[in-house]
Amino acid sequence: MKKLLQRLLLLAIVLLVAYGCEEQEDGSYVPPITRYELIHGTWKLQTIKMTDELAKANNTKPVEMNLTKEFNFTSFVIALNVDSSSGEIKPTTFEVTGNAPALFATSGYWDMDTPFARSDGMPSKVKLFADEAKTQLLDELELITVPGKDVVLELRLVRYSEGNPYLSYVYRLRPKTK
Amino acid sequence: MKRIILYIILIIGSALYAQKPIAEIWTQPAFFRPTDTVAFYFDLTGTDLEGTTEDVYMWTWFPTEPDAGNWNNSSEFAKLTHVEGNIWKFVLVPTEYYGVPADQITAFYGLLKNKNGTKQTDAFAPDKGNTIFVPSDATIKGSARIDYFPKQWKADRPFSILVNTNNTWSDCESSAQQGKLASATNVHIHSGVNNWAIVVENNPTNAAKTALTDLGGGIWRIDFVPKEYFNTGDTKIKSIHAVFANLDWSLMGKDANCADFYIAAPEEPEVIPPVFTIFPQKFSKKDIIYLSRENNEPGITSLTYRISAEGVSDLTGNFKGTNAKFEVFIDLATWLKSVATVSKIHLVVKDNKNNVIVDSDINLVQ
Repeated sequence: MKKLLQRLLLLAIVLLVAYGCEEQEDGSYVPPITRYELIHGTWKLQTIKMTDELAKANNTKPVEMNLTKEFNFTSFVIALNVDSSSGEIKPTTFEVTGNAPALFATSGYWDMDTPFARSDGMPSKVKLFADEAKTQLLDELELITVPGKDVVLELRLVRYSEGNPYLSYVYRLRPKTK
Repeated sequence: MKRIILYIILIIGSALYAQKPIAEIWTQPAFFRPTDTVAFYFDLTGTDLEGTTEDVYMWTWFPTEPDAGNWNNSSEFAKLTHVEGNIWKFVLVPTEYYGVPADQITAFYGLLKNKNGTKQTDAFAPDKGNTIFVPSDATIKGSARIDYFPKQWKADRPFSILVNTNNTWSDCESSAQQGKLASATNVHIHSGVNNWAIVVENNPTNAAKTALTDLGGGIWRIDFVPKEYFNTGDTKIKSIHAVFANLDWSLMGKDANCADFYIAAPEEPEVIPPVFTIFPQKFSKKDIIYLSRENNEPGITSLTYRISAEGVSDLTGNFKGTNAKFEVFIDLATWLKSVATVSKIHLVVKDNKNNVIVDSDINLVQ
């Protein structure tokens, strides 16, 4: 009995020493995924809806119109190009192709107001610029659906009058397949 | 497979060449017999013959087909007379035109066409619900005291009232008698509209106006256009009250218990006013707008728009849809792309009758 206790004690010491000497693998540093990484690429229009923001606010009708089947909107394609040569994805140029009506700028440079989700819960904005230095802002698009498991990108173009929205268009886009 | 393709071609073909219905049909007088002279009136608004400057012809196949074999070159006897606007009339004595005895004429089917048959209306026939019937005198020949035609009468269209003097009542204040008016040599109507608010009296001054025509067998008839007869102007006629008598009122004919006869105006369908919509409420030169007009008036078959702005050519186009709703999307962004600044547009919308629906400036958000 005494021997058995001695052997168990020895085994416990060996196990403790062995566990205590194990090295912990914490992995290497991975930067958080940016919006650039999620939304860059070439996107094709799936649907487009137009909302009368004044009618919506005042609870009058009609509020919404579906424009998808009008004016060749289904030909709308937008390419959000990036430069990843440095290992980091950076937004560069954008280009709209197809023959849908141009409701916002059709070429130039793009960026975002923040590369990550905004802390105030408001939608991030895709900013469209005329120049490479990104000083001449042309239009802004709200990022209202970020591609996830369902690879859908939704951008909202909002028209303002004296700071108040009166009209908006929601572009629902899917990756363009070749 | 060939058969399916043939059917598809037939369906598409029939849809493309579907004829447009005659807007309205009525007769003058409203009550007639096959041996009487009668005028058939047709409103061709909305048909392929709307506004035509060609002659219009009757093409009828029931009870007989008087102009058979001449579809490409209608006969002169089938020609209609132009009344006004899109209203045309065809005057005939049915037994003579169709060449059959009165007892073989109960209704008329047909359509209207131009001389060579390249334009035509849809038919007036049972499957279209607009057959012209010979009004039946069976009711007035029975126990009825009065009858009237058409049942869905209108204030501004011919109206006929028939009275059977064998069945009318009089002398209720002493000893009620039936059929006393049948011994009269003349019968007149003393009548008023809207609970006697407007009255046309039976008196010597009105003798000609109030006189009924003797149809024989104690049955008398009067024909008039209510709005003209009572001179109601814009007042809506909701009902007609009447009693019958000879000119000196020595013989009278009234309803049961010597009540006045009462004819109510038919229920009129509720007219829903047209609604024009511009969507959205505010827009800029870089936007798309949507125009629609619902509940369009009868006979409105198309709408067109013209938009003007400084510095560009006018933008014109047609609405899509049907009388119930016409709509169109308009791309201002592409049209005004070349204009640096524009503060307003001018919108004009017209219908197929050249009525102006909208003629207005619209400010653009800058």
